Amino acid sequence: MVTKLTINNKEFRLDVEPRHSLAHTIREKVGLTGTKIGCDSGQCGSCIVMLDGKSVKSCMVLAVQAHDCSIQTVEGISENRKLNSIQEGLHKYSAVQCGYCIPGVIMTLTDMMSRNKQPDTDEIRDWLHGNFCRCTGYQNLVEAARYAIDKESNSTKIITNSKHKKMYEERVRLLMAGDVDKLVEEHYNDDAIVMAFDFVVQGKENLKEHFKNFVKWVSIKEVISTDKFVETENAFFYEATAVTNYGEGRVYDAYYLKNGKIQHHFTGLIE
Amino acid sequence: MSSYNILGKRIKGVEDPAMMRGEAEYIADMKLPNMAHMAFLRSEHAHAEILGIDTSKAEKMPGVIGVYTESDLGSMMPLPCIWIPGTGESHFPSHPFGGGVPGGSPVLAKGKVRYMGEPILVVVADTAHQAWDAIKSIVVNYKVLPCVVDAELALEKGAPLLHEEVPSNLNAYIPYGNKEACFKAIEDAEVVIKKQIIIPRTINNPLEPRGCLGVYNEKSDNYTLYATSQSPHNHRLLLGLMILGIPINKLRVVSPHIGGSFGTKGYIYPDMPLSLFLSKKIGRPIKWIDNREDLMRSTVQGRDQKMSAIIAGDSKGKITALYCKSFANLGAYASTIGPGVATAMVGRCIAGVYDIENIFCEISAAFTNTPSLGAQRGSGRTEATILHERMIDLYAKKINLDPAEVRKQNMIQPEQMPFDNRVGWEYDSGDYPNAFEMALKAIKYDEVAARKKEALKRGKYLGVGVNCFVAISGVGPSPQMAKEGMLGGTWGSANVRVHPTGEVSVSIGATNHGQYHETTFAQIVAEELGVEIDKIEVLHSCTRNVPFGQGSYGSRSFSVEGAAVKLASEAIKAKAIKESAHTFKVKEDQIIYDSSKGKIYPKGHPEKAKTLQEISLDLWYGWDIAKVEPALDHTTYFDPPGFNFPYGSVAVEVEIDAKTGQVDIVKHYGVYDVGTIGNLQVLEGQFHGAMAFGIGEALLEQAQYGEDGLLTTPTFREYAIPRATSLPEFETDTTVTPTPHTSLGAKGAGEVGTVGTVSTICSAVTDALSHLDIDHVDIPFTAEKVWRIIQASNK
Repeated sequence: MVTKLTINNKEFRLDVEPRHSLAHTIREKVGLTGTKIGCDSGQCGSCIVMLDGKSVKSCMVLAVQAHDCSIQTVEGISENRKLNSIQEGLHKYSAVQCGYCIPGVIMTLTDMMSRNKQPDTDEIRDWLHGNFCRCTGYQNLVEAARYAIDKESNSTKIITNSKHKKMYEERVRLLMAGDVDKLVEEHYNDDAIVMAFDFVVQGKENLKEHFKNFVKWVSIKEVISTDKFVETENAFFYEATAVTNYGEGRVYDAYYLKNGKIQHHFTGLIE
Repeated sequence: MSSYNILGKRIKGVEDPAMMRGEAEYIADMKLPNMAHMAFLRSEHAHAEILGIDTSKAEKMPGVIGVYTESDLGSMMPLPCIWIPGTGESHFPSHPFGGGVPGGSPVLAKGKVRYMGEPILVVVADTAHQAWDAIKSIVVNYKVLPCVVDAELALEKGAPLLHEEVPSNLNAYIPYGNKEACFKAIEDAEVVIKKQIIIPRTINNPLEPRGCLGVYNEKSDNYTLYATSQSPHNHRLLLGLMILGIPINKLRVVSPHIGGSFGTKGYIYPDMPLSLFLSKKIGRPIKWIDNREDLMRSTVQGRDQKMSAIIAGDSKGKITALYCKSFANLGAYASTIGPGVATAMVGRCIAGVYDIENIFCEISAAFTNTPSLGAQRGSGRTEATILHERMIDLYAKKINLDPAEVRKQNMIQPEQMPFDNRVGWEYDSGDYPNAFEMALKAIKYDEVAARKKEALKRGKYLGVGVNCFVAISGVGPSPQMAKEGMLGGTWGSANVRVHPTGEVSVSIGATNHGQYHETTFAQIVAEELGVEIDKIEVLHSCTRNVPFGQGSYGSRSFSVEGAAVKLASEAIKAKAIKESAHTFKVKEDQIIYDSSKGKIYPKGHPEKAKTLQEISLDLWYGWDIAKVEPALDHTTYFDPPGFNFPYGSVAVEVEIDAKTGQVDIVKHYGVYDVGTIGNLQVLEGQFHGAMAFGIGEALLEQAQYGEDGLLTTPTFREYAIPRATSLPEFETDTTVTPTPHTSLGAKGAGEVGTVGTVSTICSAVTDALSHLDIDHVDIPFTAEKVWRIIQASNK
């Protein structure tokens, strides 16, 4: 049967037997062998993938049942093979050991973190109830999850509670709306300097001109993920994976304030 | 405390990223062009004659290439056993290789099956699904025979006989220690306690099932076996020499990433020779991947000892004798090293950390209609520790002394090292009382009574256990292993090669299957030579990459193979110093090799320093070098002069729900001494995993066989293993007492967590139930079992 599966944002039309599990299909037909099979009967959790945003044991789903669905596997969870916060945590605590349960564990934790931003230890262990691990005694898996939660919550929490949040959001809104006069008048000092990529602009009038002509410059509008958001009394800074007019990449965006308005604003690509 | 710069540090595992990205290649992930797939038909009965097999339907099914039974195997020999228990009598089926090599299991059953799950035939097909479909269509006509699944019953008169060549099903009878003195001491003792302790069958259940991919290359007449093997070199030797009868230079064995093993994958299994043999036959690579139920029925299983013990002493707490008679269940066939695991690893370990004057252990290993016995994490030592710790608890109770006091009174003191334990081992080093005091302190032993009172108010029976163990590791000194009956050397090996560009390649005899060898072994070299860790590559698990390697089992990797890496690195350093002396035109003793900075210079002239890379480049050119061979490359073979003996103490607090019998571990502490530490982060991971293994064994796990010999626990639904929700947060400590046997000083580290855990949980659970007048319960302490005990005592 021809089945359409979108796996890690790529569409596949596959000829599968009705009895083939999603796990088997992902591994054998698509060749993504990161998803492991440990029991093939829904008990061990090595085969967990995200199916339309929720974690499932892919040995318990037939490929044909996943027709038209979007699937994310361990191969699709990090950008450009960079380790995400869950992977960083596992690495930090040497929690990988034999590695066989790890793809399933990563997918479970991914689901957990998308639904519960601040799980406590018992909740983390509850989430991992369906993932068997014979090497770690689960302790360092839990530590890794805690690390990832802390790291993610640091970025989101500070943005949520940021004293500069309103200003930042308003600035982005005006920029998107193309209302550069208001943007510059309300947010920039008279002698503000903007340095971005390969240009430097100084002074309100120049800035207005610049934003009109280079509106595309701020295509940081598509922030894929924010990794850091740090702020002090008179500055804030974030790093992100974003789509810019230079393509997809890592960017930083830093604002230095004076009397409540932007004095220096730097934006650039991170190598 | 430690003066190391890199060794022992929490360096992140270089192995991690590939596994976390799903890029690491395990056996099931391997694919070769034109690959065919193999599936087994396994016996449905524990003991039966095969009257006929109808494969006619299967042969015509889509994709089927062939159906093969034992009659298609030509001159292929059965699997050999290479551990004949060495100091008593033993009986095996013969093996056609001769030379006293014992026979293990047939590759495919010949006329008779002896356990449920025994392979009868294989189907090879284009896809795995096609092979499985064909298996289902095959009909085997059996004549079911009476069976026996209990070792003691198997030795009784009239028990069903498994092997014509083995009278009374007795594989081995081995005595350890001094029988007469022990019996005399028991006779003379004030206090004598007898108890039977049953340690059930367990299944390692690594998350990754076993698998292999056999390739015969007609053009070169070479074979390659990719397999989940803990010991590629040894498996090549056995496969080439004793099973397939092919020269071993024609066979290469490679282990890809291995998804855990815990002992299971150190054994030779039928799929290995079959995939190679049939690959040649059909001219295609053949892949086989096990499934969970077959794994439960056919991979080696662990433990299974039925022990009757006697402890004797005076009324003040001095133990005068310990005796154990045990029936070990070897399964239907001797696995590669099963008989030794079932005997020496238990019998020589029953003294534990105690100075017991009179000690005797006799073990009878019997063939039964169950899968073969093999190693399980902590094998032998876990059983022995349960025995001595349980018996000490019973003795303490009888004489009304605190069990901790009895332990202290009989414990071997540090100044007694090295210590002859009177059943065959010489302990190398250690401070057992110190570890015990640390554990008592960690569990707040003097406040237990108050906690019990408080818990009872909540409907919980609280119990505490604090146990001690010593766990022989580091197989091993080859001459000693020969005395124990091992057919083969067990030394370590390593090659260290410094490239002219400064990078270092290290070949190790160990086989990584989750222990971070690529990281920890690099730490040894980095420490010794002052080379950055990311410039060191560690090669392993391949008979072509590694000159010779004995593999990983019995907590030998870091303690024995690591010691060889240290020696090879020392030799590299010595040669670099020699060459530097030539370069700087000074005497060798005037050369300073600063490993912390990776600099080599003449004394007093650090400004002239050269790096190891520069010295290596000189030696690589060989234009003007000292009187040494060119190139900076050294291979070492190292046989340690003795075993090493990691030890420790474990403290466990449990709460048992009075209504349901559920046992919860509320505190689990372990202090372990594994000598020199390779990487503390990795080590803690080993402790946690091993402790979890012990909890599984103590609370949940048991492979159960019905009287008909059928396994009633063939899936994770019946065979429970610990989950994240059922485990406590472990607390661990380390002390460091290096082994004197190697310059590295490391002791085995992978199993200690299990060895100490199981017995300590036994002590804690028994303590929790002591008010019900319960003095012993056999593991596992499932809620059902404990509930029944509570109910019975309420009546």
